[in-house]
Amino acid sequence: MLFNSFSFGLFLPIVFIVYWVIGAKKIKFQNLFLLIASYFFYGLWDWRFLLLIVASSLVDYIAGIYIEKSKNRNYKKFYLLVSIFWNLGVLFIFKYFNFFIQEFSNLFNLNDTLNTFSTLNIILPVGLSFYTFQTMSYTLDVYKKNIAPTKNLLNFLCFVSFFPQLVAGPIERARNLLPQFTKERVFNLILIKDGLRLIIWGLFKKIVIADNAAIAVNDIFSHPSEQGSLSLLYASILFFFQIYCDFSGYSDIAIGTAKMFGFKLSKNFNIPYISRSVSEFWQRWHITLTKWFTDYVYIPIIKKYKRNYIFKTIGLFITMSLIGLWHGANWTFLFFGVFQAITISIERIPIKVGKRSLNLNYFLTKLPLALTIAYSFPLIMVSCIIFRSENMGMALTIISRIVSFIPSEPFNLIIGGRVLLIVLLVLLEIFTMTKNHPFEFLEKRFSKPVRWAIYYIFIFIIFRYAGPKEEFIYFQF
Amino acid sequence: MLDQKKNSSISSFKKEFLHFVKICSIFFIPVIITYAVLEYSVLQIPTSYKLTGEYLHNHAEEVEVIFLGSSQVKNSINPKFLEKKSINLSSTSQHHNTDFKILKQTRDRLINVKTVVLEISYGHFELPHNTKYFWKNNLFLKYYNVNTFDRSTYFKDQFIYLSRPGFFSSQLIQYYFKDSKTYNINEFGFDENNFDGKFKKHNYNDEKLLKTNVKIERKAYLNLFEYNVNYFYKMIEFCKNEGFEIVITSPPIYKSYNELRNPDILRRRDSIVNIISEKYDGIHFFNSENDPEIKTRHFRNENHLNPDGAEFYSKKMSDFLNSID
Repeated sequence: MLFNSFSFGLFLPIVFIVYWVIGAKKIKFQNLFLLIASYFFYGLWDWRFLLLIVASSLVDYIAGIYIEKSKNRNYKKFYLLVSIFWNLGVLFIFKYFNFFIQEFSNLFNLNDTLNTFSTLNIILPVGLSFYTFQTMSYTLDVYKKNIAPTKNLLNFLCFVSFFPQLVAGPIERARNLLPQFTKERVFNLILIKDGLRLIIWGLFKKIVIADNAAIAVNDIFSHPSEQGSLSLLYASILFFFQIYCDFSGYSDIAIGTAKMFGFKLSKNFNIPYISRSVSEFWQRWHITLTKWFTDYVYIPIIKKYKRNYIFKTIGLFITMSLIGLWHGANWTFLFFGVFQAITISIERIPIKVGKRSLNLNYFLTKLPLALTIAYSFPLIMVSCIIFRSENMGMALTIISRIVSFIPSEPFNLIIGGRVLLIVLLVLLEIFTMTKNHPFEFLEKRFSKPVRWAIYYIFIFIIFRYAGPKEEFIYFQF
Repeated sequence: MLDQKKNSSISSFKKEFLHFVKICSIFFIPVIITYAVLEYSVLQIPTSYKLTGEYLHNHAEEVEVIFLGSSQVKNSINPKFLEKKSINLSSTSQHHNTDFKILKQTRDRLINVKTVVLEISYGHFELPHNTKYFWKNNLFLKYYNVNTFDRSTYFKDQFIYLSRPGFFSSQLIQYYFKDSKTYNINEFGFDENNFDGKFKKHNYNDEKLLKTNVKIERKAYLNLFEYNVNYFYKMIEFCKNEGFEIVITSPPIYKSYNELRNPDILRRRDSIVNIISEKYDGIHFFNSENDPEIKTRHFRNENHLNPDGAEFYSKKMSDFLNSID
């Protein structure tokens, strides 16, 4: 079920009403109902993959309990490894197996390898990378004694499958989300209204901006070698806004929906296009994924050598490459990660100024924002091109054509005046940057009729300028 | 004391909950009413789908020939000029999988059909089939009573405006506020005013037209080829089992488009055409891609005919269909 579908428009109010009619005092029943609703929500894609979610949940639930129970450190480690092997194994089989077989065959030019080690004819379960990372963080945290394992299976199943964030995050930590299933939920009108506003804002981003941008992006990037510089540059910028609005729109709807049920999810985006550097970009883009990799990959690697630039850089390259590969089994994703690592490591090169050791990031914070965006945005564009390309050849073609100043005749916006809606988005987000989302700004400034008029205008825009229905890009990850 | 506290908290929750439901209703009722008006207004527009659906409903038993395919067939066949009673069930971006579903699900209504015309244009075997999210699925269900969703349907699937709000908003503005006269769709669902396009803009001047950019898919998608070909064979088998005459067509295209085609895609397509002609008896081919009788003034753009071109081509098709009896 897609958030931008009619089915979700029916599903949400029904689940909302039943959930609150059950009553905040009956937490068990509320949780049971949430679990059924979440499984139904997921099962509409493919009910067979529900078994995978249940299996993953059970493995990590049991592993968590046994990690705590075991007195012997080796046993603890063993149960942790069982959990990690299970999660990474599932990910590998469904997401990376075919890629490795294919690449192995290409590398050694073994034409008959595909017959010896046949590839698997399987589809990638929606949201697999999101929920496996969420459950894996649970056992890791239990092992590190950051949290105590839950004994309540129902709560744990809810934590893994909570429908607002099940298929595309935010990737929640157990210490943030799990306790919320044990607490009594309060019917808070202010939060619920804010959730609804966030849903409208997320739908605007997804249906109006992302889906319209997709028209031009798909058109131009389908034949990059026939396009001029301006067209390719235009498509690259639009692709940034497409993927940003697609994914952050999803996150907004997820956070808004969770609010309506009395849950607080983590913020996943924070106006990434105003980043001063690539380092800062990753603190504003897919924040929960960045934090996950920082805590469970980067910090453990550099733990002993926090002050050593070389070690930090090695850690950075490993982490960013894995972040790249997390997005999918393709060389472009790996290069995407490596490119991030290269730019961030350059930004971190220590520069001695007197007795102080500074770096480029420091100087960037001292410059006017517009200047720093002129530095960071082109780098983000290059990343977007690598990310969007089917292979590295295509990425290089696009980049080389952009910098060759090949005329785009005739240059065509393709989506016409709808490009202005992106300008509207940017202005609204920047103008209300201190708020969680632009509609939050309205609450204290405008009377109810004005606020409602604005909501109606946005609903009108969503219908009037809806792009062709596209699946959320991040579902495929 | 505890009970009293509990009761008061429950009643305050109830009060807040009911207040919220009331506010939501007040907020969303105008949205729902507006939507109902939009849906109703869209249903009044005499679109090609609507009129084709009405024709299907009223003349099902008389139809002898069905045309299926993409916009190239849609724009090149005006059933008005065919001697045999025909229905054109093709549409823009419609691929073989949708064709097949339409064919199978209209079979029990189109009981006197003798000939099915299928399209294999240049890129057909290397373009992805329509997905279950194809927005026209709603139109096919509403107007043709054909389920192309690959699942059971429910009331929402009948909503036309919701299938593509942006597109239908523009249609509404065009029809009700700009110029409803531009709609000149005949009883067969063919738009007889559909001249506007690149060729008209350049006054059908070859010299100018040959200098313009041509939009053509040149990228090969070999991963799709095998699946699409096998799917097409299934369609042929079905038609054979039903006792239909099969005509495979490829409508006219302009020379600049012809020249830009990827020779590998073309070669693969032609090899399948050869295989089909060897494998199955009695299949007729009507390939007009290089038809010298089709002139520049017959085109709307490089790969679509205008209504004049459609008239010319439909008459030729009619003669061809008569000749295979």
